[in-house]
Amino acid sequence: MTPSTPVPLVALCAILTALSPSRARAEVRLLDQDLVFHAQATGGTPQAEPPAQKPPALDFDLLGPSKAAPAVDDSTLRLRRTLLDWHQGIGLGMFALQLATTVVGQLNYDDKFGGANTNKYATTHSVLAYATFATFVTAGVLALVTPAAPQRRDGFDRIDLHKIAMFTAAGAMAGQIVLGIWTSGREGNQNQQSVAMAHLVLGYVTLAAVGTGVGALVF
Amino acid sequence: MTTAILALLLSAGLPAGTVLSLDAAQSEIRYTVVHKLHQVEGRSREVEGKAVVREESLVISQVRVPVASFRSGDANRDSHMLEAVQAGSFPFATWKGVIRLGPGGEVPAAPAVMDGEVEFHGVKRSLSVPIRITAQPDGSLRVQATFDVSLDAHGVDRPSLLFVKVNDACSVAVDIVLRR
Repeated sequence: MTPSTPVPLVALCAILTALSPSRARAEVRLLDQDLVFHAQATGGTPQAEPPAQKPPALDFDLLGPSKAAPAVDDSTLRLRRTLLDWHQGIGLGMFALQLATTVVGQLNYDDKFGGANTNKYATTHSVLAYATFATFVTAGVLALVTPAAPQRRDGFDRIDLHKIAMFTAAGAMAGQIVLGIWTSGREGNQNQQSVAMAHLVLGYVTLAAVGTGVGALVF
Repeated sequence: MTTAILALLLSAGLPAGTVLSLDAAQSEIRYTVVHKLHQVEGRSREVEGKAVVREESLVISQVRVPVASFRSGDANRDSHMLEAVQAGSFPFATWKGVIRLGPGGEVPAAPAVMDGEVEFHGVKRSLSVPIRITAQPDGSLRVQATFDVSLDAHGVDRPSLLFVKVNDACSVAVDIVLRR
C-alpha cells in the first residue's frame, strides 16, 4: 500500500476480503475464448486445484481392419421401407373396408332372405366390395414389387404367416366375386339363397384370413 | 487338472502384456428394442474382440460386431433395423473400453465399471458399463454386461409400426468369452 492510497478504498478492500467466502471458487475468463482459469481460494491463499483423473485414452485399435461386412445397399432398403409403408397403410385401409363389406354383406343377406327384401344394402355392399378388392390388389402389387429383405430367412416367421393368410384371402376373395356375381344372376331361382350363403361364408373366411394376415405383422 | 491350474492362474492375476482374444463360438451380443406392441430381440454371434493388459493392471478392450449379423427371427424386422441404422454406411457397432484390475492384476470378483465409448450409426458416445468377469474352469474369462444405448443420441431415426416408434432405449446384453 502506498501512502497516497485513499483510506476509504483500503477500507472497502478490507471489508470485501473479510466478507468473501472462505472457500470461494473464482472463475476468471481469459481473452474472449473458452480459456478459463479456475482458482480456489482458501483463507485468501490461492491453491492449485488437484488435477482431475484423466480418463484413459481410447485411441487404440486392437482389431485392425474389419472383415468385409455383409453388403447392404441403403438406397434399396429405403425404397423397400417406402413401399412397405405404403403397403402397410393401404393394407390397413383394406382391412377396414373388408370388415365393412362383411358387415354390410350380412345385413344385405338378412334383408334379402330373412327380412323385407328392400334391397337397401345392395349398392353399399357392392361399392364396398369393389373398393376392398381394388385396395387388396394395390397392396398386393406393392408387396410384390418391394425389394426382398437383404438377410436370409431362418425358418417360418411372421412374414410367412402373413403371406399364407393373404394368399388365402386372395383365393377367398376371388371366390366371393364369382359367387357374388352368380348370386345376383340367380334372382328368382330356388338356389339363390344357397349360393348367397356360400358367398357369405366365404366373406367371413376372407375377413378371418385378412385379420390373420394383419395380426401376424401387428402383434 | 490343466484347467484347474489355468483357473488358478487367472484368479491370481493377469500380468501386463497378456492378450485375450474373443471366442466367437461362445460369445453373443443381444439387443432388445421395445415397441408398445412388441419386444424385439436380435442376437449376433459374429463378434470380434480383444483385450490387452497394460502396465498398472490397466486393461484395454475392443469389441466389434456387424449390425447386419443380428437375427431376431423375423427377416422383415431385421431389414427394418438395417434400414434404420443405415447398415450400408455404418456396418459395425464398436465398443472400446478400459478397466483397471486389482493391484496384482486380479480379476475383480464383484461387478466393476468399465469406462469407454460406443460407436454406433457413426456416432461415438461415452459410456460407463458395469461388467462382471468370471474365470471359467477352462481358463477362459467370461465377461457379461448389460447397458442401454440411446437411439436418439446416436442419430438413429427410430423405426415405427402403426405410426408408433420404438422406445429410445435399446438394451444391449453382452456375453463374451475371452481366451489367452
